[in-house]
Amino acid sequence: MSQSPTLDLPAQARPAPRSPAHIIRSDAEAIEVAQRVAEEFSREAALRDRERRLPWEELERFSESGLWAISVPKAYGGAGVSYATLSEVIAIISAADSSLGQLPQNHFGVLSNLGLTGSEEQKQRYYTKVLQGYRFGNAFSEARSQYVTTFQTQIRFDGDTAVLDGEKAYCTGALFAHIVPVAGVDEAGQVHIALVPRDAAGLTVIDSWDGFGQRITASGQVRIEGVRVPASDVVPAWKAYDQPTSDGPISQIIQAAVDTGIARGAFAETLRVARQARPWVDSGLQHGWQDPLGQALIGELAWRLQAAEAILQRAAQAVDRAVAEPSEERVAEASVIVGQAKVLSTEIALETSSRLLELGGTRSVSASQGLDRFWRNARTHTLHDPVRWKYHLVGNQLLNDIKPQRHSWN
Amino acid sequence: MSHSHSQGRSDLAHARHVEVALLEYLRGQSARHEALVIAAVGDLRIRIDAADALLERADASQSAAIAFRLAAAEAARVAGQVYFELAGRSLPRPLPDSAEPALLTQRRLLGDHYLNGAALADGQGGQA
Repeated sequence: MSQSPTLDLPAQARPAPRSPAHIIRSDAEAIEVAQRVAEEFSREAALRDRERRLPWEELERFSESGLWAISVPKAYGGAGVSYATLSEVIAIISAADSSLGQLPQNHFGVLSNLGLTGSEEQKQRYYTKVLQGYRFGNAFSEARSQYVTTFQTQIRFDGDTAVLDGEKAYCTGALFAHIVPVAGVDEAGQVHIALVPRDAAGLTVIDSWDGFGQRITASGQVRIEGVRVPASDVVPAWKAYDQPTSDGPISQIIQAAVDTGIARGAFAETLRVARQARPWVDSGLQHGWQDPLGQALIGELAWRLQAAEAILQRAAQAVDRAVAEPSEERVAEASVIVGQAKVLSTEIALETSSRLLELGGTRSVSASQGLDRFWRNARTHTLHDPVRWKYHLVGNQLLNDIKPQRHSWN
Repeated sequence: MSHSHSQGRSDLAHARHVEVALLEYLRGQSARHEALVIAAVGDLRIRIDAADALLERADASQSAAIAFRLAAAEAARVAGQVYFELAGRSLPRPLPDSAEPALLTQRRLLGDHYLNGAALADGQGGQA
């Protein structure tokens, strides 16, 4: 990208929602609302991608729809939907625009962690905010740490105040968030998440994301310089991994749902362009849609997409079981099946988005159509964590009875 | 149950059988701790579970039945390949049922169905 990173607080950025969100009451309503919102988002998806037009307005409508609050438990006034429903909602939105599908990824992850590690007062306070339409972003990953799970960002408790210093990367959602959750380690090396207001002094969200895919996620950097928040705004995130919990599988299944959505969107476009493609001269056919070789390729994509969706659903059911009974066995089972969903969704997202262009022919690469965005988005989003280690995760449990390590990438 | 459906079940059972033999073989080998071997075992399990997940839906429609059939064939194919590479031998795969349309035909029929809305007749993919 040619533009320079933006350092100033954009005019659209706010520490609170523009208007109150609708409250969704059931799983069925969540699916219905997702379908309606996705239809709207699909209309200008290619344009937003081409112009890298940041989705400020779309996000307002997205969170005002109530979809960002669907995992708030019923006891706190939310719909408390199943992870089968949450995954389907993410897939539906991602099929329309996978950047918009990815943006609430960490929001839902933070809600999970809040539910597992937050105090009762914190749950009451933040669930209420999310029901009102507040969006969490994330300032978790660091580009300079040895592993994705290790942080250099420090959190220091000074009486009733926590002070944070550090630098973050790949901060999807932070630019658009009302509250930016920042992960930092304390003196004992334990990870906490501070829920920092978007306009807090010392917090700078830098719009430096220039990835060729997921272009409008604005997954840039966050600089944290002496940011001070009340200690009551900090949750002890480390507790979610000190014992078996569903936090890791929840974080991961949302990733798989995004990629499944990309595959769905690419498959739908594949059918559209293949119906319009002209027949190859050697085929002797009148129409491209009669091409038996093309039909076979589409058949191959179709069953692989069905398989990815079937495993995603199984994975979501396993996550629901782990939420209900967070035993070592249940959590490991969820991690393994979610790992399978990651593999299959990655494979089909990449394959379909490539075949889309093959079956559409040269006319399908016209920049005006923007069909390359599916492959760019699939390639970019599936790099979140290396899927080759998911085959290993599944095999190690089976062959050596070694359970997946507990962290937010499993 | 159609020929294809029963052939799919047969392929899936074969893949499971090969996986059992593979695990038994590998548990006596130091290679069981090698990353590539572990990943290959994981790959096979993913193919088996994908076919199994599609089997659960195979009765819903002809297209779902074909999807299961193709996934089961993939599981059997990967099982044979992984077992041959890691154990250095093969286990005989059930022969295709002569009444079943060739897998590549089933693949094309499924594509024609999605692309052109072509109806899938009984026996092309099979229903239980």
